[in-house]
Amino acid sequence: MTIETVFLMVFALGSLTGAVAMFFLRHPMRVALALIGTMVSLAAIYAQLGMHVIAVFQVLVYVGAVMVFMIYAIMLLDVRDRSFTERFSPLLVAGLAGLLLLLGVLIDGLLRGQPFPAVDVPPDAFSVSTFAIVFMEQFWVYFALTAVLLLVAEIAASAVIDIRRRGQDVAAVRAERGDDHG
Amino acid sequence: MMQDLVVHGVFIVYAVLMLMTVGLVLTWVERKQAAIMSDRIGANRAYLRIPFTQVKLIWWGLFHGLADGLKMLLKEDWRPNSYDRMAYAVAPWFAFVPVMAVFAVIPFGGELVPGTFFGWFEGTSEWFGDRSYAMQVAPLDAGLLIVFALGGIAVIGAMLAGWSSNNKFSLLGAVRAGSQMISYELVIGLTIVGLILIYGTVNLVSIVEQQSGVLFGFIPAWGIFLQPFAAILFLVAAQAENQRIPFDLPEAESELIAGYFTEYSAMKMGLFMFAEFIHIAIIAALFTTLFLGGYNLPYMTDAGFLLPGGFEIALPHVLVVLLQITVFWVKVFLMCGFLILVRWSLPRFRYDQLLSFAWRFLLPLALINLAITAVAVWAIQGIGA
Amino acid sequence: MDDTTFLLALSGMLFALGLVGVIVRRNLLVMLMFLELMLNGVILSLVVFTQMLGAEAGAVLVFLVFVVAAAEIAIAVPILLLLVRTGRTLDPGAYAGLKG
Repeated sequence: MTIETVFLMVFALGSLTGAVAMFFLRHPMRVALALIGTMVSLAAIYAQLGMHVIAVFQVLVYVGAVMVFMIYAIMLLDVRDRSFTERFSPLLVAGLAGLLLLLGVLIDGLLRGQPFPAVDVPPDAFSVSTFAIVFMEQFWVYFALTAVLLLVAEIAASAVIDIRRRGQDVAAVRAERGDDHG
Repeated sequence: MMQDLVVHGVFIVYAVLMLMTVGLVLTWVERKQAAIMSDRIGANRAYLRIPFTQVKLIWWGLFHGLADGLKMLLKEDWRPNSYDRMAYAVAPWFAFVPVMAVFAVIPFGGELVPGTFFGWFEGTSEWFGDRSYAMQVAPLDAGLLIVFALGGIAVIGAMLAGWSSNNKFSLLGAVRAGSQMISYELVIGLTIVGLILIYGTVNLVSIVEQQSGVLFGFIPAWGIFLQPFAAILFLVAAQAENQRIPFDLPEAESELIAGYFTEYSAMKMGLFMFAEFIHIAIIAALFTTLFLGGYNLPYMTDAGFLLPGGFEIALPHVLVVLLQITVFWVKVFLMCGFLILVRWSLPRFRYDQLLSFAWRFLLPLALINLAITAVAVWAIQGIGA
Repeated sequence: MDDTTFLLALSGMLFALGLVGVIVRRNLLVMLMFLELMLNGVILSLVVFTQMLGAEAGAVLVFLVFVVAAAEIAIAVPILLLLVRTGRTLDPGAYAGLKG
């Protein structure tokens, strides 16, 4: 039981605790905090596996951007309604049964796939410089493609919001004119 | 393995102690510098009385920091009614921990060879042997990226604090603080990318080492000479990230009482304030590492001085290490002094001015700087090859 | 059970928990967060395989998945905000009219 395995188990326990806590917590803000805990534990697992670049990006992108956005939305949308008193849909029992079934299938498949092949990994395979070089030399096409798709999605989102707002303005103006004539 | 543990343990203790001390001293420096700038004396009432005598030590108001700390500890920890208890308790730690953790990747000295450093104790130098350690708490390859990542976590602290206070004004302050911090974080990232392009690495130790050469034969190759524009942009954006005046609208007294930490008192408020002051030191430390050559004097390397013209002065290892540690903190304090100067000279921005300053002024400037740097690096490398 | 199997089992558990969470919980924001948990579970398995095989392409793919996940949240949350502005509740049952 090396110290690396101990670290992995500790952080795995942390992430699992976060995930299970997410399931049972009532308030969306606490669910978000539990998710942040899970994500940070996962980042620690990535760092323990030696992939520090991925660990840093996990914290930077997921916790620093995605979760900040979610917390922002939760802050502004603190609507107390049925979802607070009734956390779970009527499908709860079926869902939990499905969970156990899915877990069984996944772990069975996992145990069948053993043993995993051992490959010689050079020690600095995942350093920042290797990552950057491989990224820019071999995968820049996918990077550019992703950027274009993101731009398209962003324009679509702004267009949807603008159409909606223009729709609201038109409706407001029509309502006024209707009141004037009526 | 034990030697690694011991050395890094010493580094961690050093880092924590120095940061706490610097945080406390900075409160005093801020007061005194503000007083000098406003042509007054400043706070000089807190004293320590030597027991069994009537000698009162005032020491130019240095004990006011101690008094503040005691006040924070001993005040009543008042908790508002019907709030989110967990988020309220956790928020100050979200703001405090990243600020302390960033120091883990900042190099505060060059190479430390403990065997030579403790040369006069024979047992110790034998035990350490030939090992050399970079004087950094965590020798990580992705140093700068970690700085950005931890900056992102601090935003969550501010927003949680304001939201969980069950107070509309705190919520408003939290929304303002969150928007401001996110916008200026983006600007900081973009200004640093030009520097990463030039140095070709995100490892802070490597960046500092590359600044110990010379440009054009006699100017020290500091980042501020390579990227002066980015240095100014970084300083402005980092101050805004830390919510110092002139960017401190989220906690402005005349507007929102205390913004997102209105409902905090005693130690939790103390954590927020302390985090803010340590953040000043961290900004100064980052600026020193990236733009001012880090822990080295001009023309100094790990072995001694290498003056222009080929003149060499070799120094013993102990002297080099102590000199590097001292020079680092001197530079950090000079930068802190400059930040305090800015704070006490400028009025604060209005909130929409603040955001349009980030998005319509600093961001385009950072992008232009990045474009010019990229073209220049490509041209110089093309000429070199 | 060695480390790889352990971590892959963890990834499976996170994915399964995320999936069931999306189905069972009754708050739109919480459902979005369980979607993120599912994605994190998959990324964990991707990272484990990347480390096992030493393939740099895996690291780049993980980075691109992060980027796409961030963009997806950036679009999903405003859609949710617009929806809640009219529906005035975060209970997905109220939006059953969106079906079909």
